[in-house]
Amino acid sequence: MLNTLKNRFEQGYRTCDYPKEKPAVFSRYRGKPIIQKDVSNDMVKACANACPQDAIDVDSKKIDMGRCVFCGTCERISNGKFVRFSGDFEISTFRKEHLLTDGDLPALAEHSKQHFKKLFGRSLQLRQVSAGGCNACEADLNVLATPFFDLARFGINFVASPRHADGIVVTGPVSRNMKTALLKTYDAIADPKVVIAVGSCAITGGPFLGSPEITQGLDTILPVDLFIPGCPPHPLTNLHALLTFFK
Amino acid sequence: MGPVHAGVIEPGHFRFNCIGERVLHLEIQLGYQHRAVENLFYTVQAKRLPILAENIAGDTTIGHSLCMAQAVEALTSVTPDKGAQIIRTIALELERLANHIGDLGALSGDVAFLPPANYFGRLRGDFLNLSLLLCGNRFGKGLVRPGGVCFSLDDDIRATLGERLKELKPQMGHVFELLFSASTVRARFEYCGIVSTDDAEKLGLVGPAGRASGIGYDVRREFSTEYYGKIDIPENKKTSCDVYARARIRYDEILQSINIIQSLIKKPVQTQCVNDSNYNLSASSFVVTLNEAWRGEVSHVMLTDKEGKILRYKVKDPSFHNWMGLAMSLRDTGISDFPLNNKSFNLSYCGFDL
Repeated sequence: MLNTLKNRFEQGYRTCDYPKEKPAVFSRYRGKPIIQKDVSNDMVKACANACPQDAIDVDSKKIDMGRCVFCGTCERISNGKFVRFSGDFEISTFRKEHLLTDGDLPALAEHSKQHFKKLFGRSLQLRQVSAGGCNACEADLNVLATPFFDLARFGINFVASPRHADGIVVTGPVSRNMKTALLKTYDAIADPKVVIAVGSCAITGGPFLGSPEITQGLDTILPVDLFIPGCPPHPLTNLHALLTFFK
Repeated sequence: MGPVHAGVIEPGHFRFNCIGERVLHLEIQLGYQHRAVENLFYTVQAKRLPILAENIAGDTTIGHSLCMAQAVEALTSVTPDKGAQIIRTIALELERLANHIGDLGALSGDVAFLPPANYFGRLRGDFLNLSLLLCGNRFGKGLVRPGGVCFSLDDDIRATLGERLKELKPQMGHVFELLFSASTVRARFEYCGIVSTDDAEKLGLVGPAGRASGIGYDVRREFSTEYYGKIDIPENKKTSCDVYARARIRYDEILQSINIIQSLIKKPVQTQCVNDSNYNLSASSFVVTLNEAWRGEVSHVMLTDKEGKILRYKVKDPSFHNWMGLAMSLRDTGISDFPLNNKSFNLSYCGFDL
């Protein structure tokens, strides 16, 4: 008992102050890409060719965060002159086309489904479905329950049954073998419900683009309300998206 | 049960054959995570190979990336410099630390001892953040590329890493003491989910699960890659073959991994970062690579045709061997011991389904 109390005091209070204060993230964290448009076409082409995800659109000089895995190749090749990753973790959007960006994202709080804030702003119960991903997105959703992020203090919880849920959070590229289970889970949730796509796999197929075993984007089979990009999205990205979209 | 489980975890289907609450046998049916990764390896452009390897199993990013990178390096006759080898070793140990700590947290949660579950959860995050410190991603994605690494270990990063480890090490020790000295925890861990050494050998269990059942095999000792040849790794073998042994192995390995990293960052580490990897593979060749990731032996096999294109790529995650170990551990135990046994193995679904 004494040992338990001693440890409790040593651990102290660890919960971060977000959203009041942004916690510091180590400098190599990449986050939101910022594009400088006044660079030569050759440099844009070199970045586009080297990009393992083919996420760079040469004509519009934009980067598709839905395909991007934030590996930093384009920043390295252009030496930060074309693409610079700003370290900003607030990168989620409510429309898929907004993910094709030059660094300027529309304010997430002003999305078109404001009634969600009234419905779910005080209590949001989510059912997570892992559908073919690599388990990194799941891991970084799980950590939202740890003391540092403490998602439950905002009235948001992950629940076991879809019958208890207000929506689903989908990770992974929706493998052929998980599609039925995913759609059944979605059907089991009562209306009105929300669908959140987490990670580049769920948004576009991500690293598995082109595989015949996956769905090339969750929005092709379900109406997605919120897109959280990343590979995997930083827990703070998830936290920002949930708080800004629903609060 | 499944494929959709109660928690935020991967999908799989478990069938319990029971008499009352005693489990006769557990049938594990997987395949829900199948993305045809192996096929993608020989159909996509070479620049996508590292991204594919990183996403075979996200919690084993470094383990799988290393196997892929070493395979390409072997067939292009490239040797990474010493600094890159050290950074790769540090990254693999950081991955081991974060996952082992997470597992101990989950184990304490499953025996309803919540203080260490929360402390380990927080400490796991601290170690994931050390991977982020090194390469900008909490799982080490983007770090390993054929030919070396993409991020150097600059002196300021080395110093921060050292400071954090120094701060975290005693905290870890105290939480370990809290967990392992509680008689209620010992009562649940000991004699639970025994897989005999004989069974383990027949099934070919690897990693901590194998070592807990008396199989000393550790790739870091027997087929040293990267910088492991110069590091003394003890034989972490236990003989009690139960959940306690699987937890205790993790405890030992956590302390060893912290020491390994601390010894590697004593001196400055210099490396030439990789910008463009060489994928001109030698023709009609065959290579097998092995690494000891946190779950055990990861192995990749690559076969090239006479034009140097990849003809066949085979991935073997440690979970491939160990899922059957979980089924064995459940035989003739109460069904209520399933979560505890499951966490003591903590196997990968996507690494198995590929």
